[in-house]
Amino acid sequence: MSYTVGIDVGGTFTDFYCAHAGGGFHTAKTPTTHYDLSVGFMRGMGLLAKGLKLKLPEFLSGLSSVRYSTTVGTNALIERTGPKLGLITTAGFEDTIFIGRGRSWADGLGWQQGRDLARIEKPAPLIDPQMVVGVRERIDYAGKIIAPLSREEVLEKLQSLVDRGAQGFVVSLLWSFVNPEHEQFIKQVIEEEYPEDYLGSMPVILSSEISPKAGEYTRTMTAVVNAYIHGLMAEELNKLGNELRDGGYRKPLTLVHNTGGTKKASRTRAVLTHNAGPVAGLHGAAALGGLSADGNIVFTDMGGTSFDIGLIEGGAIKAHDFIPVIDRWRTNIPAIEVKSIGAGGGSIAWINRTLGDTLEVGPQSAGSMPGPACYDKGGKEPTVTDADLVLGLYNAENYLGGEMLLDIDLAKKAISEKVAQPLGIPVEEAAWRIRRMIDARMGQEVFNEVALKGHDPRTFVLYACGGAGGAHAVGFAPFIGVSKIVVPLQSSVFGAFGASTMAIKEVWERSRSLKLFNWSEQAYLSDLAPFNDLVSELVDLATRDLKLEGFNERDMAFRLELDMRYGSQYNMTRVTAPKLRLDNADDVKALCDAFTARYAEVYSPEATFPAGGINVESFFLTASVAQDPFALPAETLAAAEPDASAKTEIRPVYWDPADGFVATPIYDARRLKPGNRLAGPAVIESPDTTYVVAPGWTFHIDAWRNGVLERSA
Amino acid sequence: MTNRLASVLGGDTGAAVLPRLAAAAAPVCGQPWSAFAADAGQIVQAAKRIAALFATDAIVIEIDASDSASTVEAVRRLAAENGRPVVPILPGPVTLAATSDADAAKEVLTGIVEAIGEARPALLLFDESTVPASELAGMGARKLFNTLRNVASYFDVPLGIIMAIPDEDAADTAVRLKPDAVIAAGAADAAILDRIAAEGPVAGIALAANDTAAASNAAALAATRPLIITTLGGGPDPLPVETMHAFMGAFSGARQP
Repeated sequence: MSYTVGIDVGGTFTDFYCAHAGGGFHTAKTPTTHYDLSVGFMRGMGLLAKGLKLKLPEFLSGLSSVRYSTTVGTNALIERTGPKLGLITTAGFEDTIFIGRGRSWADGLGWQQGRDLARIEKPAPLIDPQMVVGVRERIDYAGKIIAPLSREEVLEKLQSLVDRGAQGFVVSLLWSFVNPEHEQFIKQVIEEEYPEDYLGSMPVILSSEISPKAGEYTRTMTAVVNAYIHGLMAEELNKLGNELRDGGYRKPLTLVHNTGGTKKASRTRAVLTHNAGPVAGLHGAAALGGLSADGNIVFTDMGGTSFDIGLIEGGAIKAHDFIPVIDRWRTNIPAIEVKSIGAGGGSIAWINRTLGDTLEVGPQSAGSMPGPACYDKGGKEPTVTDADLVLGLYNAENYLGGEMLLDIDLAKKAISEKVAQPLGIPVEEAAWRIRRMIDARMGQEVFNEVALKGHDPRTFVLYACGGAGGAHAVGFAPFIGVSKIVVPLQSSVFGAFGASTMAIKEVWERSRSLKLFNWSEQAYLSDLAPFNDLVSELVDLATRDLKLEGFNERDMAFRLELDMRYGSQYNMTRVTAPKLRLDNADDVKALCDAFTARYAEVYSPEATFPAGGINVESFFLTASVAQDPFALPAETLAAAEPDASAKTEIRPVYWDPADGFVATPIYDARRLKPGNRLAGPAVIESPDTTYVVAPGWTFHIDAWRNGVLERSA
Repeated sequence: MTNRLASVLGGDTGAAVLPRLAAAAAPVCGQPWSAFAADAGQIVQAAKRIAALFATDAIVIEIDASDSASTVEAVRRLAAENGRPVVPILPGPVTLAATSDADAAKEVLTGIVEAIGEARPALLLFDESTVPASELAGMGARKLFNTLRNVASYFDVPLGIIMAIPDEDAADTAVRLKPDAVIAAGAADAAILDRIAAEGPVAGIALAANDTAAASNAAALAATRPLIITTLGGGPDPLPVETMHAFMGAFSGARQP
């Protein structure tokens, strides 16, 4: 029997999803061991092996793939543990990364911090100003060399960086994405001076290779961030790879990318691993949604630390973040957009003394150490999990299937000391308010995400994933306006599950400005060679790369997307090209029509502006390897009435201050069958998650064993 | 050098012998331990030197809960060197609570365990040898140990307890605290050690360093079961070099490579 494993490192838990070749799956969750991610990783592998009644070496040697979403790079940025880098720029542009772009001092901050103008500060730069040198050179917008590079000057500037302790180099010159010759020359000089067999050999990252796109600041920062996290990631992943190999796993480790694909760790750029876990979750939602024909899906993942939000429109993932922020740094990787806010089971409740003693929840999290007070690891701050326990929604003896015992007395003590007593209210009401606050925050964020993208949330189905998703979905759904919630069977490890649904894929990008439609001449682009040549170049690069991964050309598929705009608009619109190459004027018209249709869909038909002309600015070629479509067998639906044995007890649960604790039936999810229905109030417990069915909601299990919550008629 | 401690923790028969080192500081290093207890660097050098001289199976560092900064740092440095396994010994929470209160003791010890947890010592010992076993039987003691065990478990560090185990009830009390190792302070018989081991923890014995008869008995027990051997606190200080050599020598046959 062979297995595949998806792994997602979160702020509080590391999740594992193991799919069996013959169908079926196992899951595991372990606290994330931030001090050394490999400890939690191997612990989880051990739990999976134990669940399958296998010894660890036997399990590892039977694995056909391991797909990993890691936070190593992001952690290195946040903790500032990266190397001392030197940056080489065009002379006169040494201060670009320090000036930033627009409101860059607010990048990566929540909206509240972003408005705190009295206290806000630019983050300390990743590269010290002393470590930035400029070289005299100039290439113009068309790639023509205006001022050549001097080898002597490059050597002189290089030596100054080495003397100041550079442990790696980033090279980012103007217009290098059009003509990388000068950047490549500098790399060549560095490698000649410090070849690999020298102790002084250091990595050299070129902006033209990492991010060959327009936008000097974002291109440079993408290269800097990549260089900053590259070494640490390589070290961590090598260590992990060795542990896996020593344990019996013989295949390469695969990493999940935030562009929506997976690739071997050895052929992954570090910067593409940021936020990969939530992107994997979004793909999982798309895969599951395809089974039940849920076309419009709001994907949410409520874990211990963060709450992720993504959208699926018409069954497809369309939203990209053109200039995603990694930590505090604006980059231009073609990442899929999944928004994250600090809200989860570990979010800490606190009283804001500055704002009239108001109750706040998050964004700080208790994380995995010490965790919520009820985890009994020394934590004293009350969290959302503590509140849920006090309200009777969690079973202290059956949390994580009994793997973790919760201490309700510690939860009550923390809530009492930090919230109830300062507010002068009973502990249970304080717990209810904590829950209500966090649900309101999450619900409002989701509503904003959906509505501000031009959608009516009432036409969407909410997929509430994450360990705490099933417990809170009925709490935040009303703020969105959805009437149907799906809590997937795999919800507690959804990022890991999503990783298992993702294909081998990479995005190859290039900036190139071409006018497709000229309004004043009423003419479409006639010289198609620049367009087609660039596409061919990207296809060749992608083909070579996938061949090196070990794949056949006949298994490769390509999709071309373009960033397009009317005239000199600031914002781009991402369009899927009907064809890979343009063969004639009809193809150009078809492409322009596709842009117009997409623009109208996003902004309304009245907003289209052909009088501005239609331009292509960037090319994104997605190269993927065909794989079997995601499938889960649908089970036959049983009768609506659950077995009597499914109800395990009656427990007091606090639903509302008006009613206090109400005797509430508790069900064992393992004893419910597809087709079974019940009405709230009820709580359904499974080893992986808890489904909370509030009064006014009904619950049923669908053919794929997902929990479905709907408002009562 | 094989890691005997890891082998014994993993279930190999024989003894992992890890005596306390502080009392040997004066004869080996020329100064009593107290002279450099505030200097992490000197602690590291002294501990390594003493452990090497007597070929102990681990470097045991005793931590004073009220003044732990330099010894915690020393533990971190020693663990980072990847030489001999490092085993910190802390006063147990019930012992500490007797001089303050349970909450304060829990907070102090949790903080220390968190501080050394990242260094991943091979084993973390809590010394409750001066407390009657009956005081470790109640819910209060179990809650204290529960917290410490949760924190240690987060860092994947095995946790052990040194306590007096005069009878089966005491053995059961020890096992209910759910440690990874139970070390009987003073004498212990085979039946009690086996009763402990049958429930999961690795068993061990803490002896007076100068009790050669007890050492011989313990060595005989180690021939057929894995045992952790350490020394009791409060013994002769300074401890003569010959006494420590004799102690280690008593186990030479029981320490398989």
